Amino acid sequence: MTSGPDPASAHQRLRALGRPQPVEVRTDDHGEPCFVRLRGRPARRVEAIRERWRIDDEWWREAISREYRAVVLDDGAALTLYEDLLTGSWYVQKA
Amino acid sequence: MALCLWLPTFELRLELVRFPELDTTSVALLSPDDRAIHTVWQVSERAYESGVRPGQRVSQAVSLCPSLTLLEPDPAHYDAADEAMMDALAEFTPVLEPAGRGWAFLGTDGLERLFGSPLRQAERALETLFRVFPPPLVASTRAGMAPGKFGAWLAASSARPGSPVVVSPEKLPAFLAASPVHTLPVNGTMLQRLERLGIRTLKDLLALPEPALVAQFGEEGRSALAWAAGRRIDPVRPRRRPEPVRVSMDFPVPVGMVQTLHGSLDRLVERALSRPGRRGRSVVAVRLSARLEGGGGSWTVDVVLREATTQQSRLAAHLKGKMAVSPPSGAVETLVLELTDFGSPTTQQDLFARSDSGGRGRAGRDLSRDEVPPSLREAARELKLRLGHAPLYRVVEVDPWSRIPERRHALMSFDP
Repeated sequence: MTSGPDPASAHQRLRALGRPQPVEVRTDDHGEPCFVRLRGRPARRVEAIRERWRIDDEWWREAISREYRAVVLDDGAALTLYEDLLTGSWYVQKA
Repeated sequence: MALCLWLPTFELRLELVRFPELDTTSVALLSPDDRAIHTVWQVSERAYESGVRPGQRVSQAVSLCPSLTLLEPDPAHYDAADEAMMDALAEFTPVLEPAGRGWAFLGTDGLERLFGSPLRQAERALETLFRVFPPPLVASTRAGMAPGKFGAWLAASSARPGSPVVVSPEKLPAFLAASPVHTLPVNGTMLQRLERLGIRTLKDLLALPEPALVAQFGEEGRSALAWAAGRRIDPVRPRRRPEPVRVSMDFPVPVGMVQTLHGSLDRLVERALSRPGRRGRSVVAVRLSARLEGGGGSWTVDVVLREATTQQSRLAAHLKGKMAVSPPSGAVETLVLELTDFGSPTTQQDLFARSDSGGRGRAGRDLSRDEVPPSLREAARELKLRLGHAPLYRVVEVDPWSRIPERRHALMSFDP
């Protein structure tokens, strides 16, 4: 007889809030996001980039290098996206 | 459809009904708010012709019109008249929403078979007012009818006294398009920016693409477009009329000392909270009023609390703060306290309420074992019985100033 994981133990851990979620982004010739597809939704055109900033941190252990953009989609939704400059992947995050 | 009835300068007209001999003179009503510097609140037509304007200082108004008669405001009298007006209109339709003194919205859906066409309905509402109030008070009433309160208000603003303006659903977009942009129910900063951008009317606003407005103003931009296009129809919400809890105290000798008034206020709050009518409900809004010495009028302050409370000290502190900012202008003969609006039943709020005087502001910071309210502990116990674990979490600060968003806060299991 084998015992499965304790269902209660999963609830004992600290869970980070605002964890980034992978997102599908198509960029233009300048590397700026022009289309965004959130999970389970149709792709949306990026109407405007309201703000951008960069974070480079923790180079002494696992380096973090992100280029953030606060964008407005063509349906009016406002999102915060970032590009992981080390892997080239895009994420959406509640910043 | 919504019907807006609006009596401009309602308070001043009430004074002219009370003192008819002033009707042909220059009269101004003083502002009820500014006690340190007296300013003019409402002005009669004659005073207006002399250059007196609302918001002017009294000294300036008197220099412009030396024969100006200045009247102290009597808010208790105005509130009573407004309440009488609402009672009269409630006979016309039960869907009645007060929007300030002398200003009300009436829901008229379903009244066609009783009163006829929308125009006839508006006329009947005006007739109701004329039946109850003296003509000098209600002769200037403006009536506007449209789908939704925003359109009805604009229609009433553009109406002449006694001649209702009715805007049908088909004509609403065209009617709204001609309205100035500052009529939009959005925040003032956005209106200022729109005007600086040369947007004068709602038609100008509608010419802008929605994504551009959202990029500039966020969700408020989208909301503004919906208002301007007549897509957002705000229905009339009938007023709730909770039975107010009212307690009062008569002074054998008029009282002017602040300490004495504070002591009386503490006792009134205690009495009001212990009334059976309040039991099981928290307090959201409270009104303190006073009848002043020698027929010197009345004085009123209203307090709307951010969070409903049942704490005597919190209620009294809010009222004392208001009293310090805007004290009675004379000695008080009678002090009246009314609990005018109530929150949800206290059983719903007890989950995070504290038994001590800490209040909700401390929630989530010091929720150590000793402080966990019994109701929350009980709720967690029941959930644990059903699910095998307590599915409750608390938000804890990990590194709140971190540049990396996911490092700032975390959820931690909470099992009291």
